[in-house]
Amino acid sequence: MTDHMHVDDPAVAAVLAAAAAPAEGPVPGEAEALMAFRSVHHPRRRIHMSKYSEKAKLIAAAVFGGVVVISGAATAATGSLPLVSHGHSHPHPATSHTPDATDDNQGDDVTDSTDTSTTDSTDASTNANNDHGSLVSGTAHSATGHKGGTVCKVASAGKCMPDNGQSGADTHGKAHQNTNATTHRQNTLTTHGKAHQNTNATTHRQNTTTHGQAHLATHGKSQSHS
Amino acid sequence: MAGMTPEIFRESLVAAKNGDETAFTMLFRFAQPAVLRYLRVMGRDRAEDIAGDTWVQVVRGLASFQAEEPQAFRAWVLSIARHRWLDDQRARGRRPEVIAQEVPDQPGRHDVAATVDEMMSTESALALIARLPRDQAEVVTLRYIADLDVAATAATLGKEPGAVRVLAHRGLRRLEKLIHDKVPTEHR
Repeated sequence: MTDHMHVDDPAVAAVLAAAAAPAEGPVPGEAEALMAFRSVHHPRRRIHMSKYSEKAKLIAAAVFGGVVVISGAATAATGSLPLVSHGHSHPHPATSHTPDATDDNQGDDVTDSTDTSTTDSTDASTNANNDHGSLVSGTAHSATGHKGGTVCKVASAGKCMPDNGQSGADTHGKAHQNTNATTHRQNTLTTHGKAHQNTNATTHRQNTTTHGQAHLATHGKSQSHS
Repeated sequence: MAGMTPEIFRESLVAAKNGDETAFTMLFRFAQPAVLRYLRVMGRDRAEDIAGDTWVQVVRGLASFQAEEPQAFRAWVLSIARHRWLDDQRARGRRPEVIAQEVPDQPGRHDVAATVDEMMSTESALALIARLPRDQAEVVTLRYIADLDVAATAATLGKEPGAVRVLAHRGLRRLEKLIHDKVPTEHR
């Protein structure tokens, strides 16, 4: 108080002295002020870590999502997964079903033929072939005597030349051996799928298996005849 | 509020700028009592909240503050407190409240000064000063409680030093009248 005005009245001086008396005890607000001071001079590392972690999480989530989408699209493009939007499964490359000495997994073939029949039944483009299948199926049911030859003849549109001395399996094998490959390729792509791809097989056992699958795919109950 | 020499103040200010909490605490304890009393006269029930806002701004501006004398630091903090109080008044959309009947009514037996000494606590003295007109109360608080000189008070309030002297004189006269009106004449 370098230039303090002199206070004449002792009562006023007493009031001023009381108002300016030294504070007793802790000064209110010290903790809050220190907190503000620390926030400026000693920012908590955890706060920065938290912000960084949040950004990192967002980036990681975006990258992961992108990888999942791209890999999913790539997987679908390579045919490992079905393209649901097309409403039918991709035809399998012929090489993957070319019979060889190790291709003896009937369970796999049955599954494939089942899938083929399921999808083909909903495909309008195969109505004609389905009618053909129904015709063959009906023949198989109604035929008497040597069913194999009759069914073979109907199924191959007269091209089959059944030999009465052969078994059903042999007959079928022969029928498929005589089948026009081009015709059966078309059928394979549209209606009979894998079953007719296997038609190109050279062994009778494979033909028998193939034909059983064909019955599963197109003739249903006719399987019992093979 | 005593014990802060210019040397201690300078060392404390430099250390506080470098993040020394102890030095900052010393500066806080040097200025905060005057800040709180000023705000209790002017801002009343909002004093501690406004003081908290004041110190947040003090901390932010501490790095750029330059002074050699502790009184300059106190004046700077009080100036910030005043602006925060004005902001608070504007935000609340009200004028400063008028305090009524907060001086104790018990008369002393001997003389007025002795009676005042007996009945006056710091809070009641501040309440009595708060009954003055706003500009007089502000000048009296800054001059006699916060211990600012005329120049610092004038700078804080944005007034001329002559105007500060006039307001201080009128404030003391008014305060004297308030005290004697409260103490019955027969007890003098």
